[in-house]
Amino acid sequence: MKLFSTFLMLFLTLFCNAQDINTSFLDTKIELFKIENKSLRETLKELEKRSNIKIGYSGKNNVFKQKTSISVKDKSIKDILNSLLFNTNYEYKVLKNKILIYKRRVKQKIKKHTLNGYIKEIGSKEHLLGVSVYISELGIGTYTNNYGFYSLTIPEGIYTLTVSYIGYKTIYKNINLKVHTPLSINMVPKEEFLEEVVVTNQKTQKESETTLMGITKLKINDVKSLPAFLGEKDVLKTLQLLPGIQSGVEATSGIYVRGGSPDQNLIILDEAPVYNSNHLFGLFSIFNGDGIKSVEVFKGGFPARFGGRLSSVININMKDGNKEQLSGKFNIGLLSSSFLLEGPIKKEQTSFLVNGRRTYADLISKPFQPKGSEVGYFFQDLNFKIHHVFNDKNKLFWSNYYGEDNFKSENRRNNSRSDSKITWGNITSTLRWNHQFNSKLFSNTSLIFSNYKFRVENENKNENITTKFLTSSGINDYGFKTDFQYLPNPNHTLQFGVASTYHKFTPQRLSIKETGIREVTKNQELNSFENAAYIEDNWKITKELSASSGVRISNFNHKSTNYLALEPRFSLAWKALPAMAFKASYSKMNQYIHLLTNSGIGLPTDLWVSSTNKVKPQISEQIALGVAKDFKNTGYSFTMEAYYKKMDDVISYKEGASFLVLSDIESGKNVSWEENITTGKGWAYGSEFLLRKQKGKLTGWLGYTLSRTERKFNALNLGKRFDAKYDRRHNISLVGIYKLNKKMTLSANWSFNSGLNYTLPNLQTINYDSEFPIDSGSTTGNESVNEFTTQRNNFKGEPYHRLDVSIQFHKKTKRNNLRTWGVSLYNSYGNKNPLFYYVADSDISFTSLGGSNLGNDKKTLRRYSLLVFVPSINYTLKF
Amino acid sequence: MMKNYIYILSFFLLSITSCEDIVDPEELLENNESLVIINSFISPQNDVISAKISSTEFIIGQPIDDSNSNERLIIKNAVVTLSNEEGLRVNLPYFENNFRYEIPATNFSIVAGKKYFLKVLVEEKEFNASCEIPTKKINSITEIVSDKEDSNQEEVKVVRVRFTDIVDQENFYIVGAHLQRFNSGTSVQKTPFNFETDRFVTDNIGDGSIMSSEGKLKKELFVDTTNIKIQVANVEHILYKFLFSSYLNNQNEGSPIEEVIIPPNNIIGNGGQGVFAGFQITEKQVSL
Repeated sequence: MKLFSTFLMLFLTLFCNAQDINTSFLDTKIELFKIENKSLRETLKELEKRSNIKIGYSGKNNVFKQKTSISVKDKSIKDILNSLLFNTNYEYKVLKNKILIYKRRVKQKIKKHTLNGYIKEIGSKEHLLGVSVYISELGIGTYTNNYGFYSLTIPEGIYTLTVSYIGYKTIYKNINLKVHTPLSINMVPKEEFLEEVVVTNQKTQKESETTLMGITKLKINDVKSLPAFLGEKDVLKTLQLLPGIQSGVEATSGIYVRGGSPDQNLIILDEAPVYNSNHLFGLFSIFNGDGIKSVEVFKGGFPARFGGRLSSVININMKDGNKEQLSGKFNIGLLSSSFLLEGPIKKEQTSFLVNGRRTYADLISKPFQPKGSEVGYFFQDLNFKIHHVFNDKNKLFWSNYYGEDNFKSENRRNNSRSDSKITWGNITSTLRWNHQFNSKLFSNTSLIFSNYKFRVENENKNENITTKFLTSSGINDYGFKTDFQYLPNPNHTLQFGVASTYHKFTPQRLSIKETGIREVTKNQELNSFENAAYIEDNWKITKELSASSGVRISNFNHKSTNYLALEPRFSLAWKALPAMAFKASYSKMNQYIHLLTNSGIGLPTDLWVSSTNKVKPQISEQIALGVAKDFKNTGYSFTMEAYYKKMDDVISYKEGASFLVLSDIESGKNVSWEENITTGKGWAYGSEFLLRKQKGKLTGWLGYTLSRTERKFNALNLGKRFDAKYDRRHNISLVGIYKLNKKMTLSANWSFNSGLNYTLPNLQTINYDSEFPIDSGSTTGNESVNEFTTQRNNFKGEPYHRLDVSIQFHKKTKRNNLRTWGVSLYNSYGNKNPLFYYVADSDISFTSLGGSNLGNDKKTLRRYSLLVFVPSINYTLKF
Repeated sequence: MMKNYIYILSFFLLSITSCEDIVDPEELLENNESLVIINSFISPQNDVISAKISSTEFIIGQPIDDSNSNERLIIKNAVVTLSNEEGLRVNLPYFENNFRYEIPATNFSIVAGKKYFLKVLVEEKEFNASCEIPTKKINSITEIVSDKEDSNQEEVKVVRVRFTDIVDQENFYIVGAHLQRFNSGTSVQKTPFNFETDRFVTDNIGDGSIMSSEGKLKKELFVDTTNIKIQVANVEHILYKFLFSSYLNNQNEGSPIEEVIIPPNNIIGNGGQGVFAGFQITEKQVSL
């Protein structure tokens, strides 16, 4: 309670002091101000006349008689005053609606002023995040936040401001800082395809300079340049190439971070949590990269502003849309096509962005399907965003995402018909308001909606009996979130805020209609509130030592069950040598919502459920130690992190208690999810190494992870500890992007992973089904013996490795559009990586793809390999 | 329906390059484990009380067409004892003709709601288990039989079985039906309807609801007989799980998504595995 009151006091103090004296008239621009060889007093009188602002003087001095000349166009009053008083002993301040010019005190204490503003991309006016704003004379700097805002409070004086960001021309600007100065800067992108070729004195956020651990920022250009499976650029698959982030089965977008399961990843799209990030059984993620501005991943050392999941935060921001001109691109691939359109609704003030994608296998296959027996599948995505700038201090963002997978089947027979439809997908919508209270305090307030829904409809008609089966499950989130960033001086960045979400879970909604029986309906709902408040400070204690400490208080309420948790977060960085830092971190996380899944690959049968009085929240504690080294001006950086994570009350299905049996989705009506789950413990520990090169013609990284992940559930594996399915001991990834020239980009990635763990039957005994008097009537399976195992994950698969290569040809068309042909080879040396193993107990293989000894009369262990050498081509036109 | 969905996935995956190879299981798969498997399902309605006891073997390298599994795997020298809550004991002798340890139900009464205990001795190893017979069985069954063309364009007979859930308790049911062909003497040839997952029913949709399951059988089999026996059993939860896991393991052999399920176990004793459980069955004879 004390912590809450301290937090409240801090909030009120900051808020009450937030209103600056009105100095906005200083920004009024004067079209042309030209004075030649007149005294300063006369010049100021002219300015007074032109601006209609009274200028007063304190004291008398000969300096006012000094002759001066000035010729400026479209400059603000503030800029003109700064120019006129430059190199004098005078300065000015604003008193109500007047300007007072007074003599600077000779022995006065050095005053500090705040330089603040937004960094944008010229042309599109897109806010740039993570841009370095650096004062070389003082050796201090900062980075823009997620909305392109920066603030630096420094002693007054004359400085050179260096603004740098990879892919943009570095800006050097002389400033004479005498008052709080708003300064927004537009950055110019380097020429297309050369954005990373020229090695300049670019200053990027160096690994040794950040206090936090376990953060990786992904460049969207990397996503676009790397080889793409079937031409589909995929953000999540690129993330899988980073150390500490592991993939699931072949080609899927499942993300396993430091031994966590996929539901332990908080995937945020423009502040809205995304519950199902995959399409087509996890083969593709919902993020295709075209409309995405930035991606950052937190694996450990979590800032207090994030919570609600145990293992990672993947923060994805969409572009705001071009405010200057209409632009876009379309992409044609083997599987799908996509388009992006962005432009101004009102120039420089309101912009929009639309990004859509759809697969077309269903449309192509339709004419070839037999009449009366048709099946079809497609997925589609649509992103839509509007950004409106009210003024420099107030901005509004409205971001929306809609995505759906759709499967349809129709069977018509003489006297019967069977129609089925399965749909699943997400909708998110976020309304955000950025407000800058003053030069040091920035806020972002969001209203968030997120929805995931899975729905099955099935209608069978047979002579006089009609059965209709309808089931659905899902989650609706209605959230409010407000975050503040307070930058009192370059040594502190204080962030605090509150978040509240109303979760409306529908584990099962069921309707069964059958001729002759009363309709059966079941509607299970779980409503809960999740609240959190946090405060964190990034504190530069000395030049060598910095700390990021914070605390998050989270609360979850379901009916009369209330969970309250304190989540301390702490990171420490010690810069022992120039460009080399040792780091340590600790974080505690709570997760109140859970995913029940058999696969972790985003199957529609996955079910999100709430903590209840029976199902406790999942808890994790993670400690990490690491070292970060930057190699001066080479663009190389090296990081090493060792971590230990312990997880409590992690959740799993009991043995064989799948919520829905995949082969017959109607079987879900027989299962109550709460009775069929078990909770247990998890352990994950390991080391990650990352050598990265971010400058020059050749960029990329080499990553290695050594790790182990274990689980223990009372109701699984006879209560014994076992290796998790996705426990891979060694992971290596080598990624390279080579921008040969303006017309060609080459890229490749090689990855090696230890094998997955599988549960396979290793024993057989006689078939006992016949001991029960009711025969199954099933024609599947071996009748004479039962195959089974008593140990979970009893089989270690073979290692996985592959090399993907890609080449892109770029060309500017006559209409100045940019055309790109991309050719990719997935698994270019054709390694037979395991997708799954099975025991063949028939002389016909599961896939009918053979194996060398068809006709063998003995049971064999078989490996099924998918995606052995997959070429693809895609075409993109950017206009 | 969902099968079509899996076919779509399979088609998509196979349309992309893929292949299959035989792998040497050495060092990949545990091959030293050996268990004693004990399974016994008892009911007041059964004519006999029986138990089957077998050993296990490493799966790889075993014959695919295995007609000798009983001879090879059945344990014939076990001592099997059944007892009730009152301490009354009976030994179940082994019968070579059906590989079971059994006695006629008239020798030992199985009563609804009562607990029973099974003790098995195999070469100085002792295994124990207990079960409780469900207190109630369902009262009546109704059925609707119709014709249909299934998804393979074959003419099938469809039997829809309906019954009312037993109220005020959590129930697990196994549903089935078979075509009966009476041969000479007392022998009956059974041809079961395929109920797929409709064989497994719970009252999760609501206490006291009307349960409905559908089974299919090829119409061509109804040539010389139209006698159908419909069966609904109210079973202990562990028996429901055992039969369901066995069904799913058979269905999902080789599936990349559904892994093998570890069957439930209530046999106490190191190296023992299996289920000793009770049930009550209701049957109805129908002639079309």
